[in-house]
Amino acid sequence: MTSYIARRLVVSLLVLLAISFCVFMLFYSGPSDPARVMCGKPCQPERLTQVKHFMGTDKNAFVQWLDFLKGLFVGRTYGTGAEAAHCSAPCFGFSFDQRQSVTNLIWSRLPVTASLALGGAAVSLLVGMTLGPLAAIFRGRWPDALVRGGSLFLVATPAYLLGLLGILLFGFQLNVVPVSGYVALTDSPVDWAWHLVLPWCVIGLINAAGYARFARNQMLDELGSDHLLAQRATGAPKRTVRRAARRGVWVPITTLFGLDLAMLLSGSIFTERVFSMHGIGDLLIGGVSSHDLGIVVGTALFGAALIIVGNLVVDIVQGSIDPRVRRG
Amino acid sequence: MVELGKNGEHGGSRHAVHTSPLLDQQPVLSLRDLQVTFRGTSGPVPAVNGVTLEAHAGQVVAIVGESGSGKSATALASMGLLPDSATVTGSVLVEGTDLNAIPEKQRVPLRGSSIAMIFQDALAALNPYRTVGRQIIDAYRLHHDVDKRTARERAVEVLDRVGIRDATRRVDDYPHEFSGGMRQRAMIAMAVVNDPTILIADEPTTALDVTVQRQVLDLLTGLTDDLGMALVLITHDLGVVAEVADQIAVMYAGRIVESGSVLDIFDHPAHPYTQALLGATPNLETSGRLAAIPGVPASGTNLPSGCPFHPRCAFAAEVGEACRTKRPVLELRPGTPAHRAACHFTTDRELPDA
Repeated sequence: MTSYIARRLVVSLLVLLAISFCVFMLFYSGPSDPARVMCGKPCQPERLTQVKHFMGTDKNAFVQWLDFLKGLFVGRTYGTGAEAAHCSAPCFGFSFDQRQSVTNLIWSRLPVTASLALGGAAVSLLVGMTLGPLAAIFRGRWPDALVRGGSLFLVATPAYLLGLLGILLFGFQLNVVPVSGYVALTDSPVDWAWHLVLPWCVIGLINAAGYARFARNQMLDELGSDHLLAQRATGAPKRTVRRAARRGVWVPITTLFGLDLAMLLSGSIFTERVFSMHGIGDLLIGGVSSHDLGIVVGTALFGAALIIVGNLVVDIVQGSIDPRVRRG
Repeated sequence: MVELGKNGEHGGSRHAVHTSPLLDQQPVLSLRDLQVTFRGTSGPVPAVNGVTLEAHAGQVVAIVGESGSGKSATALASMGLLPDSATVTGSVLVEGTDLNAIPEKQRVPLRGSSIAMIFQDALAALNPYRTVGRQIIDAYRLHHDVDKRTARERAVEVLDRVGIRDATRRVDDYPHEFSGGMRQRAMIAMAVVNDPTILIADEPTTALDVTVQRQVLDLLTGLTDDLGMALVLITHDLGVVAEVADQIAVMYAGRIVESGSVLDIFDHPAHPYTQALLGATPNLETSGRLAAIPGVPASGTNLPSGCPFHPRCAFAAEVGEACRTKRPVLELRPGTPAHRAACHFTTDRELPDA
């Protein structure tokens, strides 16, 4: 198992390196020039050159990538003298617009996004893993039809629409939950949860739809499998056999869940917007609209890193559930 | 509990040992007019059509037939394990209790302890997420109120009996760490851990290579003798049948078309289908091409009228009308104790030698 994890770790690092290279080339060789935005209007050519040198964008994209990698490990300082901006390790880039390191920005937004993501993922897993196997057990009858129809509807519903409808109904009409904003967990745990209930349900239900459908099909496969038939042949009652079937459903579901959670942690743009929560998705959108390449690249890489870590965790968890995976 | 004997040598003359002294006892398994019908998208599909069969303790009863002849449906119906889309009528008497007449709740405790089953593909039939030992332990504790340690000792004992070397260590292995033959043994161990009275083996050797086939057959017949079980062996392999069976039932299109002792069936086949099956089996004495049976097997969805075998039968023309219109019934052959055949041609005569 240890060598399995070590092997996976090395591969993960290589993949991250490749992704950072691609992201860098994509953005810094592109037409968008962050220095021009920084320079302001009117922008004298001498001033532009100064700004470019200050930001480090006067070098070619490949050298900038190497600088970025170096910054990750030892930090870096932009410019010199009184104007100098320091970005300590691990430096995910620098937002000249907000005069802060991207690392700090992501760090300050992470509690919001993490609260949203973890709660939403928990709801989706709970709902999906309850309804999916249930539908499989009632295959062809009304509970099955309800779950399949409902999940198809939810899969097709955009998050912002469901969010707005939820705000309209539970926020304004019934007046049971606050309509927007975020309260830190450390300030008031009750208010924190109260503000998050609706977004959790929105993220949770939309993701649950996928889980329910997947879990239903997986459960049907399991219920039709020879090993459950053999287990029944030994005299196991239906309830025991169903429990064994659910375990078989968990294996592929963990794959889906790990990746979904990583995706959610890297920021949910629509949900954050609809509920006016300033998480990482909001940070990214802000960065895009103000041509702040540092933020865009930083959050993109942060997201990629999360997905890769998510994958790694999924592989390790699967290794512990399914003994056959460990060999691969 | 019957004590499990140590790994012994078996084989030799099985046929002489059984049959006659057992016949006056009650059969442990008795199927009476068993019918299985599946709900299909275009109407009901009959799979088993009135099967009557008996198996005595210590006896090996083989059910032989092509794919789709209803062998496996008969097996699963006997276990009460068919899906809800199947309707089962008739009776399945297991030591006198009709499994088909009692509710599922009362059937559950009988499975594994009275009637057990093993499957063709052991890799698929063992749970990949649990160790072999755990699965045997779970099966044992379903019927015995013992702690885990006792159950574990029992699991090791049974694994040892089915011929797993170093059972104390291998008990904690996962199914994928076992070889094909060992998996088959492990599955057999899981089925016999509760000393069942009846063991149904659905194509137990089909997925194995020839040398392992031989060992698994020896194991099954050995267990049948030691535990005094009735073994219902479902197979399409007549070679297997000739070696181990006491009684044989030949199935075609959901019906038994001929039944009798091994000698009856192999030496005096009374149904053209049986004769054709024997002719299609390779052996050392005959040379040249194997005789294939012309046509395609009848199935539930396109069942010919009268005798279901008549479109493929070499003697149907000689009999004429009856084969196409009248379904032959399984009748006792004159001068025999238990040889039955369902054929218009052979009611009053013998089949000519093939």
